[in-house]
Amino acid sequence: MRREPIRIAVVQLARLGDSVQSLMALRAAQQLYPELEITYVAHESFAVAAERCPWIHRVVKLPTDSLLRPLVNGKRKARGMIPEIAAWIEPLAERTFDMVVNWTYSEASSYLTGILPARVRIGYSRRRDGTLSVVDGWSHYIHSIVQTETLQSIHLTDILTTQLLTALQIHFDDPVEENDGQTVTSKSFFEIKRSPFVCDGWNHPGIRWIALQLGASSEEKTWSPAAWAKLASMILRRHDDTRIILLGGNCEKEIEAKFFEALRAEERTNGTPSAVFEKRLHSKVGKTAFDQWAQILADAQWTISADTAAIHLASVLGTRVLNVSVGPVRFRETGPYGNGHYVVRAPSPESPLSPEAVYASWTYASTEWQHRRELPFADHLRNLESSDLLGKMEVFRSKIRPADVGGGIHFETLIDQRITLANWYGQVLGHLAREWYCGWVPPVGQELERTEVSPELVQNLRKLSEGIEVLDKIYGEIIRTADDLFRKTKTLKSEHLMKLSDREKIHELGKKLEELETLSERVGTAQEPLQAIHRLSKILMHNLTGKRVSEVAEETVGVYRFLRIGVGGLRNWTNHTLGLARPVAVASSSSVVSLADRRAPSA
Amino acid sequence: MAKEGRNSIEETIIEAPLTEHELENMLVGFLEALEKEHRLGLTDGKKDKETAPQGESA
Repeated sequence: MRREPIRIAVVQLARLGDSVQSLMALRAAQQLYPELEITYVAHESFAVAAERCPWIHRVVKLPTDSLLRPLVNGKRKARGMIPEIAAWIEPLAERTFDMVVNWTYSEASSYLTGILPARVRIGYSRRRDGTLSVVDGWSHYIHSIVQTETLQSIHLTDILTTQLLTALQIHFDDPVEENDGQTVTSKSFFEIKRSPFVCDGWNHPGIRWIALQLGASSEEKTWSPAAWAKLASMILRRHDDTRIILLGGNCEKEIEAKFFEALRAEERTNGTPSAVFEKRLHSKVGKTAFDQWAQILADAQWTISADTAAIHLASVLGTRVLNVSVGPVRFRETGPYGNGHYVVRAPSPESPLSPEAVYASWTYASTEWQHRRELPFADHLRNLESSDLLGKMEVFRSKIRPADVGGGIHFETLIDQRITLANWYGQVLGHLAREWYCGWVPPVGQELERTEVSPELVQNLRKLSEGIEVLDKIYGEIIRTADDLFRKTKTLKSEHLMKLSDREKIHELGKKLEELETLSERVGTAQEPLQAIHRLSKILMHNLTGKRVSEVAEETVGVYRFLRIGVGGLRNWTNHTLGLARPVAVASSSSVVSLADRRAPSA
Repeated sequence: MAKEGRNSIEETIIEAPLTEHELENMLVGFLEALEKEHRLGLTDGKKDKETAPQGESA
């Protein structure tokens, strides 16, 4: 039975990489809701990816540069430009959308979302008086956690997909069918205009092409041209069947020049004439428009790239990705999406990532068919005579979880390492978010191994346990007090005229709530893992919608009950992890048995 | 994903369209915020660099 179209507008005023991630989430939603009629709003310079998606109904481009030029030049004020911006918005605002989805999570986009007429809004928006409005749960999570320094473990594509699907299910209908957690990666995702010729040897069945995307969105996330050159040299010297294609924008010509300079120096050092390798290396830096860039990424066997749009584009096009994660990148949120991609990085953003480490990761990844991942990565390093790299690199492999364990992407570590408190907490937050917003509770300790627990973590968790108990008590007291306030005020005929004794009681409860919130602030900001829950409390309280005291009190009860679920989850994870750290004995059968479990029943 | 996730989404229904004054303020807010983001290099991916997605790295 054909269902009524659901008209949605998606506001994505961020960069190309964000745009591709949004498109992946939209495609997943559209597979379950074919009746979605999507209007996609993007900056003119980043709209091309959406324009190549035949399943997007309409792409509306914001002419950002021309619109802002008079403002940036100081020739005009914003108020004087109302006619221009109104003329651009007018066609968008002609009909009320069933839903406006703001996936930019920025200030500007929140105003646009507030302006567009809609029945339902998700993401940041604005109230009639212009104040920020964040009404849905995932947006609270993004506001209080994702957009802060706190690490968390849910990929942005999963957040956006779940957020939209939940909203569609609640406000419209159930999906047409489940897709068994299949990933949205397909060579037919985009309809691109393919060039008949890319370069000599392209698509030759005996040649493996590797695309190297030079550059990144910022300098601190950029791998050095010398490191890229050394990697290219290692690959070309040791793998005769391989050729390399360099990719990058016009702005990366300088990096390209430095790359070739470093490659020549590298080859001189190795005593091999550079021209031999340059014949097997083709540069397209600054020479490709979107279509050919996408064609190359789709046809190459591997894409190796820092934190760029290329990793998202390649993964959506079904090409395997090795993400060279440099600088302050949160790869669990923005890494390549799908099965079998790799991420390699240095143990800390400040320490350098060597070409040898990237080469070792690529050779391991590209020979999976041979070792079937039964070869420990440490043994692979030993085979390469590079065991010294252990401790200087981290390697992860992406895996989509089966639907029955929650779905979504997970990055498995290939090198045994101890987990830091920040990463441990990132995992806990991922668990809590799924419990809060998906209505599904993953097992406590999912994807946490005993070997990852260090004495330092145990020490930190013991301290954290005390904070958790105190915060839980405070939240419990807030719930009781707000509930008393609700009961006291809900029967009042007027909030202005009442008995003196009622007024005194209400005043007393209000004062107590204020004191408890001050106390919760003190406890909630004392330890990093409690800060995220505290920030969430602030955002939830800011977004209360009640007008009367009784309504606000009732909502407050709901907010703190919700937060207490988080505190309870944090407690469960802490106890579970401390349990993992208990001394163990190895039984003769080699199975690991906890000493606590082997203790004889007490007399 | 289950209906239990209901508490994650609140519905906002604007019953009446924005007044002219409210709309003007929103449009000004939009432009000013956009200008701010542009100055920070957030609207073009890379400040001071060519932005056309020619093998874009942003």
